[in-house]
Amino acid sequence: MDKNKLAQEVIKKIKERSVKPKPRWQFLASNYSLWFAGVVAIVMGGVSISVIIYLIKDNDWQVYEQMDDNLFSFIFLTLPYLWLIFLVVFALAAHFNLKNTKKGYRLRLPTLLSAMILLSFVLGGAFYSIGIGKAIDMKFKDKYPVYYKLLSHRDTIWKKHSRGFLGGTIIQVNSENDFYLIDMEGNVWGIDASKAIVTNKNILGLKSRVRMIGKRYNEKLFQAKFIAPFDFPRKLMPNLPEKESIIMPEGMIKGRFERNPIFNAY
Amino acid sequence: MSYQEGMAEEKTDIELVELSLLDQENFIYLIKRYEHRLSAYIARLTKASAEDIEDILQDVFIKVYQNLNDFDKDLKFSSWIYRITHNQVISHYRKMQSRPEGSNIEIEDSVLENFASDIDPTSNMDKKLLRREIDRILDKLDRKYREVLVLKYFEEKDYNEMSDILKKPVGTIGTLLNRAKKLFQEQALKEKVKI
Repeated sequence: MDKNKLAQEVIKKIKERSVKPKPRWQFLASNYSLWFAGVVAIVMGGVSISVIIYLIKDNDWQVYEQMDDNLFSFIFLTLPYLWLIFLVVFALAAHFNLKNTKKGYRLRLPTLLSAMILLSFVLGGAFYSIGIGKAIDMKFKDKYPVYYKLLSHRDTIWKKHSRGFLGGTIIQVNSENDFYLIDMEGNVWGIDASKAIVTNKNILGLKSRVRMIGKRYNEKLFQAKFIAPFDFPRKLMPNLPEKESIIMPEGMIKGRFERNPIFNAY
Repeated sequence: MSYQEGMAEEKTDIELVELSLLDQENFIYLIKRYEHRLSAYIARLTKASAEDIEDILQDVFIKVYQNLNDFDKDLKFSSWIYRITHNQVISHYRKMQSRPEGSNIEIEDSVLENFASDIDPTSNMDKKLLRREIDRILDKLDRKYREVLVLKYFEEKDYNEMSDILKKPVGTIGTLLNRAKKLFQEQALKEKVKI
């Protein structure tokens, strides 16, 4: 190959095609945008972890003892898969972006992944501690019905009245041991909480959303053994019916309701 | 050699990059400095004809000129230009929908000795035969293994340079190279070639 020939040929083509060196800012912008996208993906990974921590901590661990299922099938049923998928997607996005930065290729995959996971966990812990995990879960449940459907198995546990689970909104309080609750399907229940362990007595107020484990006496009466707050989006609760239309439960605690027939919730 | 060429000979790669950014005519000196090395590298990676090699080289230099501002002075210019060449070879063969196959260039004696003694220190094979056999066995290796062997033994690059050229971590280069040597030996055994 003739040395001068190739060099002259290249210069000729450069001139003919008016090739110019691309400006430095273009390369800098592309490199910085990769860094930015990588950092955003790590932060989003942190957000996912904060929701995962919230959902796992809020996973009603006391419930599984009441169910026939063993611990593994309970974990399998209630793991926040959607957020785990988000976490993997964000980790891959962060990996792709950082790997493609100017010197990203020098980092080994295990080093890069462990650094990203560690960072995401630190951020996730911090986000969880300031309530971001819970806020996002509630917001998503409120805004995106699909999201709620995907995670609904967690809440549907509280519809299994025959197995001793009940969740809903308190519509009348007679005493701390005696109140009415409307469940997620709009049925009114009379609750006997005289033998219940309550995580916090303050939750037994009007319009509080609670979930309880106990025993169903009949279609309308429930004896609670354990009561805890229910972080369920208000929007997804059935509208409270007109007080005239509510058919009050009869039976075990009928007398108490009759003494105080006014529905304080309205 | 003209006075200007003589001056250019004394300049470092980085100085020539800066001069090329000021005046495209200066880019000629960078082309002249690298065209022989790069055409040999392309030939070792592929079985391209002389015309194909020239086409690839022209594309490489145009790409280098276009991207001069992207050259990172923390790298060796040679690593950067080898990287662009390597990528251009891959993209050329992707376009042609065939994979690069083996070398068709004469291997220098010193390189041959170095390669043979590293693969098998007891090697005492006739050089002509050795050259042909190395060529044939390299042909049969996967591209990723052939690449590292070519860079290490024929282009005499160290691990850091290979890492910068192939855009892989240094540790991965070490692993690839060890595997490539092992596969080369296995292939040689299979072919009943004693190197």
